[in-house]
This record gives sequence, structure tokens and C-alpha cells, in this order.
Amino acid sequence: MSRLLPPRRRDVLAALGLASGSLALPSLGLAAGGIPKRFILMLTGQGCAPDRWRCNPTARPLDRDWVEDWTRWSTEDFSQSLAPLQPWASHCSAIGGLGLVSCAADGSGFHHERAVAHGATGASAQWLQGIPHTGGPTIDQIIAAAVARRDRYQSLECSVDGGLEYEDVGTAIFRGAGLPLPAIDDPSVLFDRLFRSQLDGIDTLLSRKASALDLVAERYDRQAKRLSGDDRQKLFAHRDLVRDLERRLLGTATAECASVPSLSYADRSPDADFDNHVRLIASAFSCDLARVASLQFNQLDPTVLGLPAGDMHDRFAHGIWYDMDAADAMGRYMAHHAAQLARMLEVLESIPEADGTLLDHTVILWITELADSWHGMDAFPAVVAGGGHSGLQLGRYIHYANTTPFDTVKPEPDPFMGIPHNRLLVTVAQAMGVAIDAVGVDRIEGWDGSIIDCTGPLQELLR
Amino acid sequence: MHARCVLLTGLLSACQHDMPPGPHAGAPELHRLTARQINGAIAELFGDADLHRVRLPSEITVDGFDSDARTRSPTPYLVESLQREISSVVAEVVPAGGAWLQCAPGGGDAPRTCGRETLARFLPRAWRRPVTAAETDWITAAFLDWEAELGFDDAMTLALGVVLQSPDFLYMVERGDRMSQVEGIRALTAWELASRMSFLLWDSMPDEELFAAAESGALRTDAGIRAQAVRMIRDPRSRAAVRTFHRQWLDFDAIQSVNPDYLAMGPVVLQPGEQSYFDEVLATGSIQDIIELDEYWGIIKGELMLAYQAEMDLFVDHVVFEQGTIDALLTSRTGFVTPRTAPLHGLDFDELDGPTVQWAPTGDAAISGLGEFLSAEVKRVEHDDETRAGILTQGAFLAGHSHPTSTSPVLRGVFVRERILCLAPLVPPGDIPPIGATDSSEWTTNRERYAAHSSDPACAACHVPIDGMGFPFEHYDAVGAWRDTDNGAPVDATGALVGTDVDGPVDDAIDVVEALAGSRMVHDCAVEKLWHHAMHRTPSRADTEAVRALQDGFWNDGGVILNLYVHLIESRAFRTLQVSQGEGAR
Repeated sequence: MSRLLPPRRRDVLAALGLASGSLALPSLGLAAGGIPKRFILMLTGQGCAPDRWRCNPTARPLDRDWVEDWTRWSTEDFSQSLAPLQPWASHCSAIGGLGLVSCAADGSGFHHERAVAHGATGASAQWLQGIPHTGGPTIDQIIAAAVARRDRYQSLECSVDGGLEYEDVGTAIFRGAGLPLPAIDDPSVLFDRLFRSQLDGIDTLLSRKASALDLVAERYDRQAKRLSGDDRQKLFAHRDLVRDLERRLLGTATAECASVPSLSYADRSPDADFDNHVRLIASAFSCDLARVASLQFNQLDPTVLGLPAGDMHDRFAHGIWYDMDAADAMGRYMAHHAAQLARMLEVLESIPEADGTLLDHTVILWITELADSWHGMDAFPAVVAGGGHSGLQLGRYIHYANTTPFDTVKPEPDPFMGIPHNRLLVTVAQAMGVAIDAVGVDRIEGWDGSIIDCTGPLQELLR
Repeated sequence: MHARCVLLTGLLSACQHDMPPGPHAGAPELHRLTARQINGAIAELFGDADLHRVRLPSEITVDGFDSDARTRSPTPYLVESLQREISSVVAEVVPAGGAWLQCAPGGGDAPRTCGRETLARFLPRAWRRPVTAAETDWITAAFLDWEAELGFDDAMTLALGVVLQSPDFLYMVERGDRMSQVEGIRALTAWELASRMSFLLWDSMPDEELFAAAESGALRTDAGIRAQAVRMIRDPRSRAAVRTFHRQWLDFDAIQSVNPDYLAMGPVVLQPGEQSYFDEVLATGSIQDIIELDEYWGIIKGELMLAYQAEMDLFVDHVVFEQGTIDALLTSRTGFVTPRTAPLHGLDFDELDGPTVQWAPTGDAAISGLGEFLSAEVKRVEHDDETRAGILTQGAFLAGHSHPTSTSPVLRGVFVRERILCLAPLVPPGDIPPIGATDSSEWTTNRERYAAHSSDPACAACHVPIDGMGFPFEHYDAVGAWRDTDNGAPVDATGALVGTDVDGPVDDAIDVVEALAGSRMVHDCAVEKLWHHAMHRTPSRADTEAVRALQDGFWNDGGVILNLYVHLIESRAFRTLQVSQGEGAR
């Protein structure tokens, strides 16, 4: 292949043997009609005020598991935190009564860091110098590894207001222990990454970057041929991976997107950034530039919620159990994010695809950093959302009783937690067509000596 | 030349490409540089130690070593990370310029000439060998094309990216000196040998002087090789690399993932003021106060972990570079303490003589974020109370091989067997109950708890040899502090060494380490470990003679660790390679 690629798209494609139709798509993640399934992970800060998040309009017993069809509820039946989802009830299910059991079982101290490490991975933390770091792949990466196209972005990592992170790692999304994936905070940067070449044609630098990789691959080929046996195979394998990377670089630049979103990036407030990120992700999904995305949020500024300026965490998050104002503030906090989720659904629903909309083929998981905002690991609030092809039972409010013999902190009066949240992660993975039965930790020893099983999906949620 | 050498098989040193005497090693494994080595080489190439550090996916370790070729096949994420990380380093250095760039940043008045000259000088350094005209032309032609379209900085960034992602930089591609081949064994070229030496001793590429020694032929002679090896060990750069070897061999990092429980271990770790605060909150505080207390314990625990890391790091550095031997590593009474750990030794940190050293994790040990802001004050002490001697009585080992609420004679015993004596793992039978599942009414001390299960004949086959080496450490609790009683009963620290060349009963840990210090097996094991680290594989059958020769030398030399490095480098095994079949004709 020529070292210097002409900057015109068609020639580049031809040179790479990528002319239309020659790409083999992976079979995973394809819904009916060959439409790919997409996944968005929404990770928000703090945790909820459980009394402001839980819904129970018919006063059902909390020590039993139950499921309600919440599409029949009136607005008043929704809790303060979930009320914004009422118009979208048929596209969402809320799951109350999960526990971050794996997190409670994983050492002590550093509740925020520990909960971030466990929430989206279910995996034990990697403890470094006494501090817990994320110790396994986050659920979006588990899904991306299975459903992503090799010639497109494996996943898009986006953050709002700096994202959800500790210890300067810069992100809550990990490919695995020690493998943080940096997030894009500025939507105009995301736009450039996704669509600049759509507007300008393949930019010269990008095509030269691909040609540089071509030189690298050539070098591996040459050196491999001078070696023998395993050494030769090792360098050939490296060469092939460089070629894949080159193909991905050009593949992402050569996707045919019917429309490139025209947005204004002047307003850099967190809410404006959120809106832009969501619209860009939706556009990228619609032309199959990526199939998996994550959006992580820094803790909200109280002024966004109409509260006095200050530190949300210090002023309100710890007060949920004894200070009505604080409980109300955290109730509003979650409602703000619920409204953002509703907005995300609206954007996805507005993009036609096949005989429906993009939302039909999308699965969204919204989870929070901690379970409750007073560093609690129990009553972990979760919402799943999507459309008809999501593979999930939507339109439900599901409550699980505390039946797991694990105590979140000593000395707890009622040492039972909700069921392990790992099972929610399994459910979502299976809905996305990923054939796994465990995400992260698969079993934990309870205080009564029994083995707590963390595997298998939540049957009430999987269709 | 080939024929002449064959004729002179008995007098190989007479060949122009002189082959050192002694046994050779089996065929080498193609080594890809570790992230540590890539960072070392990049800092050397650009003359800047403060560049962005390349971060790569973590390696799968084998017996603690992250450089074992068997687990290091390239993966998609690795290749993607290399591209991203190397591009960002290069994008940082190109606009800044430096001695590596043959003109002002931006290309100066004659950017194309500058690019040509820069690459002609850079390529042989980056690839660590003389390059051919075709190789220089290959990268220069690409640069010139890019320069015409994109300008100097982007073109140079791309060209350097290609050079540093090439196998010639990222791998130690060794083909040996074809002219020297005798019976399938080739001498390494002087350049290949220089790279083996520098990546072993410095975790970095050769410096100017080592390159000059390769160029001049000095690395073809025993004296020249020895002179360079000794110089390199004396250079401060060797200290981090030598510590890394010990860190991986002796599993210093185990300490980072332990979680002592505060109800069980708090009374040992907490200082008086902290203890009364904890007592008060536990007695009268709300559930939320207790959650907050748990958070506070996390910080204290982090401080303890950091202290132990500092102690181990400084101890190994001191022993290897000042005292020198395996014996000292196992029995030295020198130790290091911090304000957090001094009370665990019955010492008052402020009362100790001697200077305070500020220690902070560096390089690989500084993982990210907060870690870099943490540091510990450390003072050196001499333990004269017969409670501490060598690495096996350091907190990092003792706490690092314990459970949150109790010691683990099994983890400790297994470590001594496998890491210090290189004994093969004992394989447990299936379906054994966990230790906690045995009847707790039978025992008082932790030792009795373990003894209960090893009295079962099915368990005894493994647990007699393992626990016999673990019980002697029972005087050190789950955070490594000395104790005379366990759960109210006196500690019984007697044990027995089984399956070693120094078998016999022992009274306590000091007995164990004194016995191990005199063990030939322990010395042989250290050689195996350095071999694994240096050759990127465990010794194979084809390596037996070569390893044996080093082991004899190490034992006769009194177990001087730095000498072992020199002897390894001087050996025929290190300086030659066995050619795979089918490669001879190339």
C-alpha cells in the first residue's frame, strides 16, 4: 500500500479494501432487522435520599419483593426524585432494594472511592497504598468489548463538569484494573472527534496518522520475517493489531452520517454540556460511529437546584437522615438527574430508525455513586430505560426486600442488605446480548456463613 | 570466519567474535519492553526525566514478575495505548525541542535539513544499534512527504511516533552475530548486549558511554563488559531497577491490598488519642458517626500501608547496596520506622537519633493521584531486642500476608516456601472446608485454629510443611506488630523446616531466618529469581547448566547480590543466544 494516502475518502477506502459492504459486522448486539443495539451508562454523583427516591403509592410491605406497573400511576404516585420520569414511565423501570454488597464486603473506609470502584463493575477494588481504585471493567466496557465494531469507536466516554472521579484518575470508566479511560468533558471536542471529518472530508493529518501506522505495520512485517517460531508469530500478531488500529482510525472518519448535528457550544454550563453530549451521542449512534457511550457527572452545584451556594456533599448529602432540608435537597438532586434522563429519552426518541426510533434499540442504565448520600451501601437506586427492542421489562417499579445476610457497617441494627447489585449489571449485559452470568464478584460469604450468590439476572427485569 | 571458529572449538576465545566459556542458555524469548523500560528509554532519548509517563495496560505477572514473556502477547488495548501514549509524549517534546533536535523548535531556517539530520541521529539511538542507509531513508522519506503537507512539527511528531512504535524500539529483537555462530550458538552483537545490560541494570536504554563501548569493541571482552557492568551498578540509575527486581520477587506490593479490620486491629494500630476518640464514638455515637469513624480508619490504614512500603523500600535499598548479601537481606538488624510504626516497635519516633528521611513512592510504586501526594517520614533504627531481623520480620511481609482480623501462617509459610526457597506449590485436594468453617469451640489461639485442621491426615501432607514455616511468625500479629499473647494465651512460635537443606525444629522467626540465611537452597533460589527477571522466563531444562554455574558462583561468593548481577552479565548464557532451527541461513 502506498505510504501517502490521498485525502479523498473513496480512495482511502479502496486502498484499505474497505469499499462499501466489505466490512463484516459482528453478530452480537444486532437486534431484529440488523439494527445494532446501543448502550448508555449514566453515572451520577453522591447517592439518593432513600425516603425521597422510593415509590410505594399502594403502601405495599417493604419486607417483601414486589413489582408494580407504574405506567398506571398518577404523577403524585411518583416519589420526589423519580417524578420527572412519569411521562416516560413506559420506557423505564426503577429498581429499589439493591445493595452494594460487594462493596460493603471489600474493606473499610474510603466510601466514595470504594463505591465508585464497585458500582459499575461489581468487582473488588484494586487497593493501592490503602486506597481503593477501580478493579475491573465497568459495565459499558464489558458490553462494548462484545458489541462494538472493530472499525469504529469502541465506546464514547463523556463527562459533565469534570465527571465522577477520585484520586486524580480523571474518570470513572475503566477497561480493567489500572486501565482508566479518559472522558471528554467539552462537547465541542466530542463533536470534532466524531464529525469534523464529515464536514471537512478526511483531514490531512488524520490520513497521515493512518499512513504512519501503515509504516509501523510494515516495520513489524519486515522484522517478523527475519525471526522464526514464536518470536515471528508475536511480531505478526502485533502487526495485525496495528493494521486493525489503522482501519479503525479511518473507519471512524469514513462513516456516512446522514446529518451532522449543528449545535452551539457557547454555553458551557453543566446542563448545556449535558444536552450537547446527549445529542452528539445520539447522532453518533444513528450512523453507527459507536454503539456504547457513558456519561459521568460531577456532583451538582446546589445553585442548580435553587439552593444556596456551597458544597453539596458537606452541606446536604450527609444530612439526609436527620435534617429535612438536606433530605429535600438530595431529593431534588436526584430529580434533576431524573429529568436529564427524561431528556435523553426524548432525544433518542426523536431520531427515526428503521420503522421506529433510535430509542427502540437502546438500553440505558442510570446508577449513582453511593447508595444513599450518607455513605450508605444499601438501597442502591437504579433505573433502566430504553425501547421495544431493549430486551428489558420496562414500565415497572420493582422493589426487593432486604434479604442478603450482610451488614453494611457495624453495628447495624438490621444486618440484612438488598440483593447484590451485580445482578442488575448481569441483567443489562444479557439484555445487550452479552452471554455472561456474572459481573465482577460472583459470591460473598454472609455473616451467617451462607454463600451470597451474586450471579444471574434479575428475572423481574429481563424479558 | 565461521569455518575457522568451528575448527577452533576448543579455543573459542581465539575467534575474532570471541565466545565466553561456560554453559549457554536455551533459546531466548523475544522481550517487549515494560512500561517502566519504555519510560526510561524515552527519558534518555529526549534528555528529559519529567516527561509524561507512558501508561500501558498492567501485565499479568508470573511469580510476581511482570516481564515474563509467556504472558505478554500484544493485545488490541496495548497497541491502541502505545499509539495514544507515545503520540502524546512526542507531541509534548516536539514543540519544546532539546538536544535531540538538530535545530530550533519548529524546524528553524531549514526544516527539511533539520528533520533529516535529526532523524539520522535519533534512529540509531532509539533502535539501539547502527542502522542501514535504507532504514534512515525509509523514515526520512516519510518525514519529508509529511513536512511538505503538514509542516515541521506535525511531520516530526508522526515520524518519531513511527520510530518509537516500531519493533526495533519496543522489542529487544536479537539475532546475534551470524559470523560467530558455532553449533547453533551465536554471540550477541555488542549492541544487543548493551541493551540487555542497560534494561537489566537501569530499566532504560544504553547511555552514550555504553554505546561507545559497543562501538569500540570493548563489549567483546570480559574486562570491557565487567567494567561497564560495574560502572552501571555504581550509577544511581541502578538503584530503582534493583529495587524493582526485589519488589517483584519479594512481593512488596502485597501490603497495598490488605485491609486490617478496625475492631480487631484498631487497638494495636491506634495511638492513645485516636483510641479514646474511637472508644467514645463507638460507645455513644450514632450510626452515621460510626460510618465516619470507618472513613477515618481508612486514612489511618492508608498511612500504615505507606509506612510499610517505605520501610521495605529503604531496607532493601540499604541492604543490597550497603550490606550486600542474601544473609543480610534475611537477618540484618537494621530497620526503618515512621511515626505510625515506631510505637508498634515500642519506640518513640521523636526520641530516635539520626536524620529523618522523607520517602514518597516513585515510578511504578506511585500509581496515581493521591499516592503521589502521600509521603512518610522515616528514621533508621537498629533492632537489638531479637524481635526483628531481615525482610521476613518487616511489616510489609507480615501484614501483607495476613487476613483482616488474624494472621495467616499459611500465607506466610507459602511465601517462604515459594519465594525464598523456590519450592514447588503443594496442590490441595478438592472439596476442603474453609478454615473458618471448622468448629470454633476447639481453639483459643490462631495457631490452635490452624493446628486443628492440619491434624487431619488429608490436610497434613501440605499443612505440616507449610504451617511449620508459618507458625514461627505467630509473634507478629495481622498488622506485623510484636505480640507475646494471642487471644489471651501465650504465643507458641515453634515450628519446623521441612523439605529444605536446613530442616529441623525452630523456636521462632529469628531461628527461621538464621537457618535460611545459611541455606544453599535459598541462595540457589535467589539466582533462579534473578534469572526469571533478567531472561523473562523461568529456567528451562536447556538452562540448567547455565543456572547451576551461576548458583555455584553465588554460593562460593557468599551470596553478594550485586556480584550476582555482574556474574550473570559476564556469563556465556547472557552474552550469547541459541539460534532456533531454520534461522541459521538468514
